[in-house]
Amino acid sequence: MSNHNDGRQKTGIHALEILFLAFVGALVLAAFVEAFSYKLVSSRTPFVIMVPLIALIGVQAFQLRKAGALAEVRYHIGEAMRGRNAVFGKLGWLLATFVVVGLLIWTLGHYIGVAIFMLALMRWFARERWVLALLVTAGTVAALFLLFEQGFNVELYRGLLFRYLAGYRVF
Amino acid sequence: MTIFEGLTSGFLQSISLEVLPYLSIGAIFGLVVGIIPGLSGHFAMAMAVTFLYTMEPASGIAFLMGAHATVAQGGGLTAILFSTPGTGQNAATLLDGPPMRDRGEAGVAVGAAMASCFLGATFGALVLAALIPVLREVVLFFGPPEVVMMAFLALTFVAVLGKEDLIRSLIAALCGLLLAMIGLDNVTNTDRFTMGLLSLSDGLSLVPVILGLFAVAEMFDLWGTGGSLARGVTKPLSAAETQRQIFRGVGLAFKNWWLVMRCSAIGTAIGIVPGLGSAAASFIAYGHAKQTSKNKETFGKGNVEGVIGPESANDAVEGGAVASTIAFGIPGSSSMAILLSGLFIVGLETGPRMLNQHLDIVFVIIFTIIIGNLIGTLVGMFLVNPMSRATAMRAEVIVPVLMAVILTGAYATDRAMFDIGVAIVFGIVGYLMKVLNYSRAALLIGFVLGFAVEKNLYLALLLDGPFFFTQPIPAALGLFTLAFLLFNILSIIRDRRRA
Repeated sequence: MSNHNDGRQKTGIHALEILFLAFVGALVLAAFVEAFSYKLVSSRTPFVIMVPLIALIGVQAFQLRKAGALAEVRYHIGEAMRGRNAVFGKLGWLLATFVVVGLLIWTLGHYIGVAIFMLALMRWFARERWVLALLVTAGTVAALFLLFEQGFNVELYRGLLFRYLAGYRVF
Repeated sequence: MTIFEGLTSGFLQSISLEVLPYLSIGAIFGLVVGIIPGLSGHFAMAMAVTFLYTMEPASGIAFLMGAHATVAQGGGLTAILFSTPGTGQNAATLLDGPPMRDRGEAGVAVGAAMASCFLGATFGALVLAALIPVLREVVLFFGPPEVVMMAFLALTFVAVLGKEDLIRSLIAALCGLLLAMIGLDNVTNTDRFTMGLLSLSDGLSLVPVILGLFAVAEMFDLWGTGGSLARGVTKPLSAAETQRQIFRGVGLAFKNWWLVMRCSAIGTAIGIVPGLGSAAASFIAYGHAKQTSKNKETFGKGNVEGVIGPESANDAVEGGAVASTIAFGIPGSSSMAILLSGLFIVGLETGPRMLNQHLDIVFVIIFTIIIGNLIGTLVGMFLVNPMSRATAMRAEVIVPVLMAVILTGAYATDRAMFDIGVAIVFGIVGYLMKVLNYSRAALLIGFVLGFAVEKNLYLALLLDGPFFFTQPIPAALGLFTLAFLLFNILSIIRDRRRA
């Protein structure tokens, strides 16, 4: 049973690599096609890089296919959709969290975005006490303000909402 | 002014009460800047330059160089303790520094890094001093063909880094090279692979890419697995144990003096050649350290030689970079451009005039690099103890704090919201690469060298035609590259047969 699970886990990693390579390969192919629209001086170096890169991706995909990863891809995607694949599930959470934090900073500004992100991680995901979560969040945001804005004169992003309220209409 | 007079005057000025306080403040300022992600050496110098208008030349230059000299030390500290390099030049330290921390040897790694920085900087400064009589001739040897061949040599170190999994490492390195092509082509002014985004016209910034690939990925991994940053450590090290470890690390740097010398020589040589930079130097030094080590298999798992090599190289770069800036007045990096402007502000002119008439200032620069690094090493040692305690904090608390610092650091580099997105995207890519065993270091080497390769290849072809590599120095470099590559391929085949 244990060997069966280890095997599944291994093919799960292989399936993830197949997806990773497919994603990278698709991007490289798109770049390859795009490079045809440039002047030769601008496109020759990218071509020199992309030709061996595509070949190497092909070789690696072939090796993974031999290891039986291709047949397992659909199974693991299905498992991930049902929330049963730990690695895929973790990646999904990562992606969602980062998209949300990016949107928060973009709209509400750096300080509010970062504060909500920290509170969410500590309070809702890690189940820390409210007092600790609030203290750590407030301390970190204050330290960032003092260090970057006061110490080094780096103005952190204020966010779309602040800009709108300040009278900006062009974003 | 003779060289001896310049040396004596420069030394006396450097330790005088008019200069030493400025040098000390600059060194501590640089260390703090280095600790903060996103703020780099040229940021420290740009801030320091605003104070120069009211200063005497020697004090002003000491302040400026002191601020620049210690940035790498601060960056090394956070790279080891928090897996978050303050600057790009400390990225190679991430390969062996954090694994040492995980084993409960954070103090050893930091001590070795600090001492290596000091030794490397001293080596670079001494080479700069030795080169003064022949500086012009030496720098004139290096044109675009030589830079291209040196960059190719640097790229072959990917083979050393990825010996265990060559295809994956090559894929990573080529992806890095391709990423370096993003942005405005400086020859034809064509936007390449920018997807119409204005933010990509200048290409991807190095710091957000590094923060994403290493720091964000590490944070995500830590969040998933739980525990603390120092994974093998159940409770924080005591102050006495940390100090003992630091001195052991310092001792190891001196014990590996031959490695320090070799890696410092690599750093200095790369510093002299404009266009490659200290990030490339530290990776090449790492590759060299691994290549020549008796314990190759422990690299990436916490080998102190993997910390000593890159840390000595990234500070030795200073001496070489200053050499070409002083000799020609042509800065090889943005930091050196700021040094140049600083020299102008205090009324000094670079080139032969400076080497003949202001030799004492040249020696002030040399001694400033050495003394500044010594101050940085001593102050850094005191910082280790409180900072290393944070590595034993629970992931549930330390990850949100460090993520906030990392995202702020990514933004602060170019004050661009876009860079936060870059750090996030590369964080996901970095995590996947870690899980799937793709070399993140190889990707970074490709990314760092890609721009230099393309620009200098174009210039070399334009200036010397398609057979530029047949000139004496490029040919020698090319032959060395081929021999190095061949040796590694043969050793890979031999290792596989044994397995």
